Amino acid sequence: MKRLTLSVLAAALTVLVLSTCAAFAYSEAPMLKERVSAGLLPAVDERLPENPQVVEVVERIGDYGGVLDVSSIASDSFLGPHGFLMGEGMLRTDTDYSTVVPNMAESWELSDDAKTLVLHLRKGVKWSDGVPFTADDIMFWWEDVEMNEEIRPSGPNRRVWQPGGEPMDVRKIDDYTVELTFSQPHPLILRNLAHGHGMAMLDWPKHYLKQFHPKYTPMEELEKMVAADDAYDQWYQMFLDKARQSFSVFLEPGVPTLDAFMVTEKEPGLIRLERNPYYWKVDAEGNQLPYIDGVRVHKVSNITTVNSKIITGEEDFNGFHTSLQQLTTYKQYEQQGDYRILMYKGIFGTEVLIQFNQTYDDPVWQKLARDVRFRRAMSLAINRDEINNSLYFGLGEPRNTSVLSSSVVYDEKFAKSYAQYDPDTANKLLDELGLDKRDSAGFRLRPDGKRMSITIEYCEADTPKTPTLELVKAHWDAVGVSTSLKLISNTLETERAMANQIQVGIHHADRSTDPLFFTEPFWYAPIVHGWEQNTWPLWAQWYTTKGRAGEEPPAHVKHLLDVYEKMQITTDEVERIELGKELLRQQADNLWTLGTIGSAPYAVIVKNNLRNVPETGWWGWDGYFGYPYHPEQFFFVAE
Amino acid sequence: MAATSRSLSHSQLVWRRFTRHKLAMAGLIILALFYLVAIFCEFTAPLDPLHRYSSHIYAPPTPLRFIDSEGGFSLRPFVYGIKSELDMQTFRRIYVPDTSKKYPIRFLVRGHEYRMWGLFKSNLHLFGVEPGGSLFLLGTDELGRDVFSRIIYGTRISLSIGLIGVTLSLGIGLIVGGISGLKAGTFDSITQRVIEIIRSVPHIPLWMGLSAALPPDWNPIKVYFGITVILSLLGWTHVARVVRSKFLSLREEDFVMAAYAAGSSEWRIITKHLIPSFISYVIVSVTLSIPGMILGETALSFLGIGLRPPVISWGVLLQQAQNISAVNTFPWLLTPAFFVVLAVLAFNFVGDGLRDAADPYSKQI
Amino acid sequence: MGSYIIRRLAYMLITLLGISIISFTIIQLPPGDYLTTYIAQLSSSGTVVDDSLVASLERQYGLDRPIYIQYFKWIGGVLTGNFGRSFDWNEAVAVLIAERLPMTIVISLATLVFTYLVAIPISIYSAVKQYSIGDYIATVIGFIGLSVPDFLLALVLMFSFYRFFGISVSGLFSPEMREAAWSWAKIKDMLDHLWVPMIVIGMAGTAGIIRTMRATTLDELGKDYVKMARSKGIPEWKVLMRHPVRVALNPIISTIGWELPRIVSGTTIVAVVLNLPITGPILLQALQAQDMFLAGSFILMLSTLTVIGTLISDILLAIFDPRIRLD
Repeated sequence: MKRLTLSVLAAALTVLVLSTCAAFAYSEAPMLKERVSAGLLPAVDERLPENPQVVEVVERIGDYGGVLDVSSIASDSFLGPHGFLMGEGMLRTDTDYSTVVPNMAESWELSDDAKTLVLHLRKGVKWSDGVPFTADDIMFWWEDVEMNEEIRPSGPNRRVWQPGGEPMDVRKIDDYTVELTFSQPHPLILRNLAHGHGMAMLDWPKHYLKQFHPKYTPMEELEKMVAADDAYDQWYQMFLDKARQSFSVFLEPGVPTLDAFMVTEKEPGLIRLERNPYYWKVDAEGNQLPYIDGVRVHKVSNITTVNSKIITGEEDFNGFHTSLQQLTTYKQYEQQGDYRILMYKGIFGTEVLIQFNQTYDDPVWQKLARDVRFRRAMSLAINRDEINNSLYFGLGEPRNTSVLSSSVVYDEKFAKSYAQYDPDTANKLLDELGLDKRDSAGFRLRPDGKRMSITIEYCEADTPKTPTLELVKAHWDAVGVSTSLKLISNTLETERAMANQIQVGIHHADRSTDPLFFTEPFWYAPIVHGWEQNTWPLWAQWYTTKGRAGEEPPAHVKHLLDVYEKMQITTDEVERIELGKELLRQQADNLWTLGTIGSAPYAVIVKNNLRNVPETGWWGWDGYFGYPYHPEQFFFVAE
Repeated sequence: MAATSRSLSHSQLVWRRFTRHKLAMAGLIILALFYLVAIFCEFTAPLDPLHRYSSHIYAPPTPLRFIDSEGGFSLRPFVYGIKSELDMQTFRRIYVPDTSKKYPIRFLVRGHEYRMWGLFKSNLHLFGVEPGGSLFLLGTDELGRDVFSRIIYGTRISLSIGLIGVTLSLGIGLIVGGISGLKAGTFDSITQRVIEIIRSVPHIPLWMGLSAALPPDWNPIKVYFGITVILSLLGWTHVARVVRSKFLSLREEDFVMAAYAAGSSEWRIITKHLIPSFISYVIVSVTLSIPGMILGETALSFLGIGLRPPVISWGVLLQQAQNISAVNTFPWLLTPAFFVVLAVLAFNFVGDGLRDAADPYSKQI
Repeated sequence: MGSYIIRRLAYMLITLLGISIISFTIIQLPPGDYLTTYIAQLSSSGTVVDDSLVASLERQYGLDRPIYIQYFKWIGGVLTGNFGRSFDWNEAVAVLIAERLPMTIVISLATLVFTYLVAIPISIYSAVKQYSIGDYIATVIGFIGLSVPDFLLALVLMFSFYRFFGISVSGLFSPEMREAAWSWAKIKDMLDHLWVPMIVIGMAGTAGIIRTMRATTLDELGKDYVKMARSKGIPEWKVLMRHPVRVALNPIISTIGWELPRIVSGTTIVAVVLNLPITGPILLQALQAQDMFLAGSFILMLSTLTVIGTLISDILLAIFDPRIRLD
């Protein structure tokens, strides 16, 4: 708790100091200046809030201008490379990947019992259409969206907004102060507000959306609008669509936003963004950000196209679709394509996370998968150095599932536990387990006489899986466990994982750094029942449905759930770290999941004329990709 | 009896004409070689296609040498050992020949152990170098596996898909087309519509829909057959149309009429008279549709819905080569394409030759 | 002739009905639906998709209704010109198709013209100089065209051009032209980019035509009237043009109806590799994402094109070649 208050103080102080130095007339982009002189836009001083956020630049004060070209192969959701350019949250995680710092809320007070959080919003921030952003917008989000039963049939997110099972209480104190009250201590709310959930709160411009909401517009009128558009049957379909919350409409022009860029045009294959003239951040000299005039997002259909655009120098910035496997080729064309390759660190505790399903419907397998000796043997049988040297140029870290070194709960011995290559011990352990008989092909036989074979089902997402798994397969075949690989679609994986049909599942261990480890320690306890979870689907189902479905987990697993729950509510930061370490200790000892290579390098490709991009950093979902690095201060060197 | 001797002399005639078609003969020889390699791939592949030479990742093809570093000449080609190091500036693995020891290439060498057709053990290989040397004729892939040996193993899967698929298409096509041609009427109109529908719908969606519907529990062997069936499900319509129209026109030919008049059973008429009269035609069209199957397999892999590693097929190998690195930095990963082209070319030549030989006045349908 | 066309039209309607059902069914064949795809996609970058989001999306899109109801809703719309809405693009399907169709037609027509311009002279030459070196070269090149997997050819051509000439042939326009309004410079820029896809897509078709046309021309050359004409001392090229070539052209001309839709579907994979702004990549993406109204409408459209093309071809054939029996 002390730590948190301290950091709040420190952050508030920084803002204060910086804002006093910036207390002179602000400057703006030439493009906006023209509009101001044409009378199309109010002057920059009127557009900026009382206390704009001052962003420290990485290299130097930037030049205005330029359009950034990026490609996206994702659908029109926020997953594309534009995502990091367009998110603004209530709070933010700092570049250390751990500390929570102010963003839209310039300060906050969390009560000692962690049941009340008061957020002080920046005064005078305006939506991109010039309408002030106030506490009313937050109230609209909570009362008219999250608590509306037609929009959210099963209520707001339970872990974040309903700690202890009760929806939080949101109260407007004045136009720029909001108070959140919880029925149980919820200290981790700050971490939630620094990630995606804190962004989701700021997505609801009341002045625009109320025309689609029955509380503010008579139902008859809404029904007329719904009837006029054959895309909708119900008012809430239209509402969510207009709010950019339905399928793939994250980038819809015309919706007011608080982000650095706003969508101005959307056509199949190309989305055009332009700077938000009301953006509420400035550099230390008072220049309104962003420096870049606009962004063009080109939608392409496959990764090869993105990679070819990278080497031909058509991509100004790409950290989303690069692959270490292509590094040699990126290097080969570095000069011709006029770009530089920045080596960031991926946020994956392990790039390929191996999960033995302990609740899989096969009694013989279940007995094995639940035996720690089996999991240790399988871990020792993997030659991680070979994976590292073959696929990661030796730059990754051979390890088992655990958090990364940036985390406050990091302990090297957890990460190294059973991560060495020791096939002899692996064979000995497997023999001890009653797998000592072999068939004519040299594979072990299970106690019931069948060949000891396992099937890994996986899909390709985020990190490359196939090459690593081909190696793992070879390593396991070599200790007599016949392994087959099956690549399936994301969709199918989701269905089969939820239905407990996957014997050995694969994921990637994000959530291995502080922004997400405490709130979502998915790999260490059965707290989520979804596609990412194949270690104990039935136990996870039991926990998430409060015992209505699934299977009750054994005592040692309930202990993990206990630790997780305590970690969520303790107001003592030291105790939280201890609890986090307990989860990691249990994992290191029990190997619920196996790791391969973690902390691997991540190539971020930047055109040479694009500056203010940090030379190195962490890259990935945990920090919301580029969000900690203030992409709004990237700029193109003026010619 | 008369029919037999007639068809015998007919096939002799066809063969004679066929041998005069030079490209077709060349194609036939290539195909014979390909299938020999496919049948005995364990023996013909110099290295284990699954073995990873971890210190030889992305090694370029090993040059075959006749002249050694001292200028000595030997008729028997040899290779040098290779040393590798990783350049952390360019992230490129550099391979330099180690000229201290020569490894001559020999026939019938002992190498890694395998089970021929899964039945008996051996370690005899058609050619190779002594242990310690490394002979990567077409380089290695991202895990250090020998590309040449993988292509050889891929031959077995890719070429058999063509054969099995075509046999299936032929079976379905003969039966459906035959019934359709004989029993005009409702059955005929229905099959005609079905054929028209299948031929009108673009192939890619059909492939994707069907292959995604393959049960996820299937093992690679079943998936292999599933994919073959999918390819042939779309391929039979051509045969059926040809058979149908032949039946329709043959029904009115004199020799068939005569057989009917002589009281022969319908079955006998079909098997003794109708089928022999157009079987050569069907064989030709079948030969010409095998290449479609082989290319179809690679297209399925491109779309990510075909066979998958660790199964080795040409499509799988090409799919792994579909990235900027393969084209720019490690071009030897594209060599499976050469074999695809060669096989398809050979089939086309043979089919063309057969057509010319069987019916020199026919136009292409 | 009139009754033949009417009968064919009636058949066509039955076929189209069947096609519409198949188009819709094959999208439903893979497990899951767009919602599962969307959820998988959200979770793949780490978002925790909770029940509340799933429930609200499911209700919003009515994806839980029985398939046949979804089909009738869709086909009812199609008959009134409303193809539904794409989940993936949040845009009316008709708009998406209309936006990509012009470029698709430009590329397909260009390919068709290219195919004929290359194939017809070569095949005439090959037939006249049968078994000459030129004939062999033409045949082999033609066959190679049939044998190379098109995606690979596209990939290799694309990178060779960048590597050796520094030209990026990906897409239909260079980056600086993509934004520009239509002008001569832009048309020229497009032509510069057009020929790689043209070659790649046209390759197989060219080879096919060379084979057919060479064979037909050879047939005709063997006939008596040609010998007669030659013996009369009529110049060789006149003999050639007057009849054999014309006869050999008949089947080629009359199959245009088939060719065009074949090219449109054939471009899919190449368009993905070369990043062309045409229908193929959208169709593929729609199929992968199970974006059912978009994918279904696309398949229906392409199939209808083929059916109509076939009908036109058959009618043309009947006109050109009276020997064809009209049954």
